[in-house]
Amino acid sequence: MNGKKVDLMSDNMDKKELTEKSETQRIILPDPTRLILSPSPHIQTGPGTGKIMLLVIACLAPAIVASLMFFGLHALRVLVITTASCAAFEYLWNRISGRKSTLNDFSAILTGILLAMNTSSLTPAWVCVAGAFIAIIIAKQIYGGLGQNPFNPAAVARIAMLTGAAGAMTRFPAPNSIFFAPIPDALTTATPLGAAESFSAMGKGVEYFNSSAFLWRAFIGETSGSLGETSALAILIGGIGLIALRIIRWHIPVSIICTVAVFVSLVNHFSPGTTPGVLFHLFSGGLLLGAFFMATDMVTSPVTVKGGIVFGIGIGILVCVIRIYGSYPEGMSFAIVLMNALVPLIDKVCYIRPFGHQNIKSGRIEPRRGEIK
Amino acid sequence: MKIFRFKGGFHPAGHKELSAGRMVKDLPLLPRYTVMLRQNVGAPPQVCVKKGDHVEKGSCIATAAGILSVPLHSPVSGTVGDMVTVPGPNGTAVEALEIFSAPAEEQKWDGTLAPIDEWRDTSAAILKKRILDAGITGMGGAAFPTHVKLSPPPEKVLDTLILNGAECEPFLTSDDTLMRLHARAVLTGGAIAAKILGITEIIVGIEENKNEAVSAMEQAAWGIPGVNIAVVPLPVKYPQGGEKQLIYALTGRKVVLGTLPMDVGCAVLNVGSCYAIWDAVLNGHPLVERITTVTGTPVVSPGNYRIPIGASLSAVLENAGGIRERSNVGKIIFGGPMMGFAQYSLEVPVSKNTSGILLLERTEAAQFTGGPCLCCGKCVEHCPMQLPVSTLSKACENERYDLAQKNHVLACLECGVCSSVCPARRPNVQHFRKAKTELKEIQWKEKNKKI
Repeated sequence: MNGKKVDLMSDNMDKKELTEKSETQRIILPDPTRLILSPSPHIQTGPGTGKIMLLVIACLAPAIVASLMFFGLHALRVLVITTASCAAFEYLWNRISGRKSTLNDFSAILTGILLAMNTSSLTPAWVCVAGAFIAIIIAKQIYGGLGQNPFNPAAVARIAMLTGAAGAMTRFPAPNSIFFAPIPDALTTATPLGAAESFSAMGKGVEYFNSSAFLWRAFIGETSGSLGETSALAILIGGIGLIALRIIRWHIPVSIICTVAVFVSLVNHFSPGTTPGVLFHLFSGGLLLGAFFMATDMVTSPVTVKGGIVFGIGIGILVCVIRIYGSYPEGMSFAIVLMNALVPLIDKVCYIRPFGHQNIKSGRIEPRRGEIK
Repeated sequence: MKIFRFKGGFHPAGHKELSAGRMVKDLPLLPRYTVMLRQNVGAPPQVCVKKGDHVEKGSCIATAAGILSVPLHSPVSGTVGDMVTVPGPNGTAVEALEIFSAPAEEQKWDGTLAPIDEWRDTSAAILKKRILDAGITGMGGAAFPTHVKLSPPPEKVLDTLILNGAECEPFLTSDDTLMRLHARAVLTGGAIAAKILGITEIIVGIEENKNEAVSAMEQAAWGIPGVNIAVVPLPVKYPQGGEKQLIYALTGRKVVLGTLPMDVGCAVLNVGSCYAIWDAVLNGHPLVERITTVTGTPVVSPGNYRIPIGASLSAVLENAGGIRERSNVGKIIFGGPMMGFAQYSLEVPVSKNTSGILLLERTEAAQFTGGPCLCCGKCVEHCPMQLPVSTLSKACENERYDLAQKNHVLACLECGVCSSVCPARRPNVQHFRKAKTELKEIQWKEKNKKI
């Protein structure tokens, strides 16, 4: 108890009354020396940065569980290596540069988990560590740490790993094939996207990829691919959780999904057989993971709702172009990073005008991102 | 009547049930009052009494100094004491006049201001003079002198008087209580103000969580001839009671950046000020006491109290039963939790614009640690002025006032929504206040240079 006890010693009070009253109740006044002085407002709502990151990790839990179910201990190995090395690099950077530790905002842990979700369970350990280095040091801390990075760290790291260690990064195990044993090369298979691309390149039909049996396997995640991206179901559960918890706005994922749906339908309408159907594109590869968990990264997505829609449409178009016409079978991380680069421009164009502004001249504003000096 | 919804804003937990729905309790006579001199926007009034003078309740103790100033009155019959320095509600030490109370049986009103019963037949100039003489200021927050608000320049044509009963701040219920218990007086005060402005349209905006107040005001509206009164329930959304937001919600008119409500034909008065106008005109009582909400989870008996201006915070808290045992008070706030001022002393006197006294537990009180901005856009989404808050926050923090000005930091209401919703707990309002002060200083310097 820290309240200062004050008897009812008001001068205008009769002594008799005073003794009677102080027996029945003592009035406690707050101790002014322990009051907090700060400017308004005095109440807060909503979770803080650290809690938001933890909630995102919680929403990733279904995808993590699915990856462990389909890829076993190898998935766990990759997950542990990337997360631990991301946390370690974050700690080391803060230690060396003499800053306060930022591990308690959990953003490095989240980056590590997202990076694992984006890599194959067969990736060698050194590639995972190199990816973590790129994600934390090069894509985040060099720009000034959390909040200043223009590009999504996990997406940058994935691109670097994919281009730098292409062989190691594109060996994907078939689901349920391995749990403990080291994997013989024979058990690795192509991802659905890779298979579809080579099928259409060889002139074979892509009808197989539109069959309901195949789509069902892609939906629940029984295909080969990176850890977190195979199970559309698990990602949808987590993504809906993110929207329900109001951590992300629905505009970005919905506009990405709608754009992909429209683009793929148009391509299939005008040149049938080029690529499998809409559902195949949605359920395979990293599209849903990217749409719900990576494109919506607060630091690297536009500030306004309008901007978010433009951003989502841009990602949708880019990912379809790369998947259908590009040389890579999957283009989600490329699309996200390319659109990240456009975010400052989108912010500038899609800005809301201040309440009560009249003409463009008086309402012209200059939104900025990153550090302002 | 069509209600326009302003963009932005948010809906914090109300906590109004702590103090709502009860009668107004009176504070017993205190032995000593300290009346702050500077209680209004503009020049502080000049003291016109000296030590040892006898004053009655309502006697003028300081006269208006200039146009933007109002006189002050004694809250009690008694003897004038020294000029003392007391901690002021906004953190700085201020000058105050001490008044020692006479015994309870010698308390009486000063009769200098005679009641004006036939106010309908009285000229606007006399009524306006009465409002000035009664020392009435805005009682919601800024304490802008009411007679100045009721004297628009002749070229401005006003057509609507808006009575602000929104009371969108969480915890506060003083306006609600006033409207429930004194609806007729509030509306009569509004009608007097409308007569001064020469208009007949009155709109009362009340947030729809105050059902009783809405129905009391609707009933009372029938009994007031000569004006058209519309009582409009508004959606519950902070800051619904912001002047610009309220005008937009009720009329659909947008107050352009850098102009005043009178430019769109509106005048806005707080319901507390209307009650004070009624009291001054029909009873001849100057503004010496007000209804204030004393609330918060640590308070033993929260509620609405009629508090004489100049009563100290400690006296008010003692009469509200003090705080509960084992409560750990982190903040005492004059005003609401969104825009009020945190206090550091229990000697702060209540002033004309103290709409609430709020005690927060240490765990409830916000602490802004100021982490890095995530650009999440929550502040932009919720800003009632639609400002690029995330940009402004960083620009003002790093003293880029040129960039802040380009992004309209001067339009900021300081409503506190952006800080309240910020996941990084950035003290945005603090940065904006500093930037506004600096920018005004720069503008003032430039103006002087030209002359």
